[in-house]
Amino acid sequence: MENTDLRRQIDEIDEQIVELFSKRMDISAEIAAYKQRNSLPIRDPKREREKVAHVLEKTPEAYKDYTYSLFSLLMELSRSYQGRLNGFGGDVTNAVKKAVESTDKLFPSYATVACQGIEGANSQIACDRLFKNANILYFKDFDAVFSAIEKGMCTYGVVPVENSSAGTVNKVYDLMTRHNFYIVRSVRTKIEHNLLAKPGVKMEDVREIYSHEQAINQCSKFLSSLRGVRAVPCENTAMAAQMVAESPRNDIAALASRPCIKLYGLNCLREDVQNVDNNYTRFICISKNLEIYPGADKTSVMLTLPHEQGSLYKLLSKLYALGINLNKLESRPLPNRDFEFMFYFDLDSPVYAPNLMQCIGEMKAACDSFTYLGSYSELM
Amino acid sequence: MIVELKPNTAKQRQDRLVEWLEELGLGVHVFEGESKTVLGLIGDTSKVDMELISSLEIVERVKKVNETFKCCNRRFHPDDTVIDVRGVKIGGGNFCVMAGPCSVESEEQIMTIARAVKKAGTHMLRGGAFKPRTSPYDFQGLKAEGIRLLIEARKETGLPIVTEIMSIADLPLFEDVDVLQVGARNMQNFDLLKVLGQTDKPILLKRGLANTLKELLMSAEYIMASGNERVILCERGIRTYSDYMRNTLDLSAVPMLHELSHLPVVVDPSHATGIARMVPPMTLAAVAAGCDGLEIEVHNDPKNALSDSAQQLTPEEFEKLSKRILVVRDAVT
Ligand SMILES: [Mn+2]
Repeated sequence: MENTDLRRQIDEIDEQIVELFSKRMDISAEIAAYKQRNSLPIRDPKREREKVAHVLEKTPEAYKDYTYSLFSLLMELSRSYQGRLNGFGGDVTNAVKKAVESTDKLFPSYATVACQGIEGANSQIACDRLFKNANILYFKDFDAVFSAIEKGMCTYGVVPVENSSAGTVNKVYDLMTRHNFYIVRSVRTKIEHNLLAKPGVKMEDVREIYSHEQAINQCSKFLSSLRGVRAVPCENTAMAAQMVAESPRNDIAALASRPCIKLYGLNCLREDVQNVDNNYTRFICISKNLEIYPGADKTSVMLTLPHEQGSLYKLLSKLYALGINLNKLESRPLPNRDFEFMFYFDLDSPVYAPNLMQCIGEMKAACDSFTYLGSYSELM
Repeated sequence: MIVELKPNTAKQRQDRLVEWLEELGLGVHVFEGESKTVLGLIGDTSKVDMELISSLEIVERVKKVNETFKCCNRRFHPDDTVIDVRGVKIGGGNFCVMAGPCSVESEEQIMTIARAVKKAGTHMLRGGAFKPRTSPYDFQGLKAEGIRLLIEARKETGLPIVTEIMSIADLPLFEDVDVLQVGARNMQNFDLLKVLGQTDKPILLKRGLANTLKELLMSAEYIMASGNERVILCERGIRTYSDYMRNTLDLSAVPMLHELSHLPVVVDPSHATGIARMVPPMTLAAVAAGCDGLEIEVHNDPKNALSDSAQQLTPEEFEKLSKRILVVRDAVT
């Protein structure tokens, strides 16, 4: 057979493929509308598995791998198209639009705010930067901070998510999967740790130093320079300061913030003992309702991916294709599930950008579960 | 449910917690004592997240309260309630004697008795204007005129006046009365209690003659839940199979009510015994049991009294008894 003849045959088949593909996409759009009406997720893993198994059965052995790739791609394209259709005008888009319209133009200066810890904790410093005048209610743990906003005791909550030297606050990320909340703002605060002890206690008297685990990590160089001194982790830095102030012992000190000096009547033995000078902690301000203030240029989402090869890669390539920058990608293992992860994405895009909503639509389509956590700006 | 706050809790933090609890549809009874602040929660507390409240830094502890009475419960209000009636205090270590005739009969009668009990050192003047009599043919009281005469007696002696209200309809007549008494037979007249709960008058609530302490406290709760926290409880004898006396004075009610409630507890030995010569020993026993006050019937001419003639003391007998009250009170406090 002549080469030209073979090519002609291919051309014919391709024409049919294009025609069938277009038909397939038309029907796919109808399915998208059906899913929209019935609030069904775009991805249907069971249907996809059955589909692949069915077509592979009909495929000659030699082409099985290729057929698999082809149908994976076909379904991927179909989901992407459905996501675009449903994503535009989808629930997230509507909620975002509504929130942008109904949220006050100014971030509130007064509010009841939930924080973890006690007076003098680092959350307080973050809180004071976010609000001019906050009525802070302190809670024993982060879980209660989330509950307090969910149950309406406090309008906002302030929790740390990240520290430049000690990394992510895992506990807070794990709690995100168990609560309903939105991020309305974030703030970076410079963290300074000081070695505090009761008046009269000298540097050489100190045998034990109490502080939060992260603070101990952040001051590791200073601590290892001390001979015969033990670092003891506790709930948080302010509680460490309070404990040192109230203890009858004269051989203990705390790593804590500057406000604790006055608050607990302590003496500062050494200032700024953290490893690096630009040690900061990033806090998020959370709320029960979605509020989007002017200038929101960060969007956070939380998602789980299908347990299959390349799913994260495919998701990232969508961001690349839409020109959306990823500020942060965090993953945490899901409890009671082997090698399955919750992913946290911080996307860098103005909330008003149309491609952000397209991106969210497509991400939703590609994920097993997808939660929009809010759009906000960060105070530096 | 009771939420105990840590000492020195910032006001605005406490306020927000109270406001939130109220948003949940609960009544919040705030007790601010010298050493601690206690929030008593009234209503359906089953939907309250105890764990969340416990994890608040300002909260010392959260406790469940099983008793159905809340406002009058001592756990809601650890300190004794002190009720001030025109400068006369009762409760929390302040002892108060209320004395006077069963019924106000005439101007001369009430004036004579008022002067006599004042001389004996009594703190308030009692006297019936509306009388709940067993028989409809018995003297029913001077009604509005009786109240007018009590007010006259107060003008002269300065003694605050205590008199019984029987019906909601009569309430306007009591505008110038200092303490409104709810009689034993009206203890569970819940509509009356609710209306009295909306007044700002101290209420002397007498235990019904077949009512339990819990029922007495629930009646106090009716008044308090309607907004009036100034309730004085009164033990006046209950019906038992003990004969020879009108009723049996349940003196064990005094320490038990003190344990269960923060309200002042008064004892009425006159109606409990129904016999004048039994009144002094039972009065002294009541003082020894730790009551916060007494209500005693005194008449210038008991034999010819229009009501309860067998149980009223003469002014002389009352004066003697008053001195002995002070001695016993000294001995037990
Ligand atoms: Mn009488």
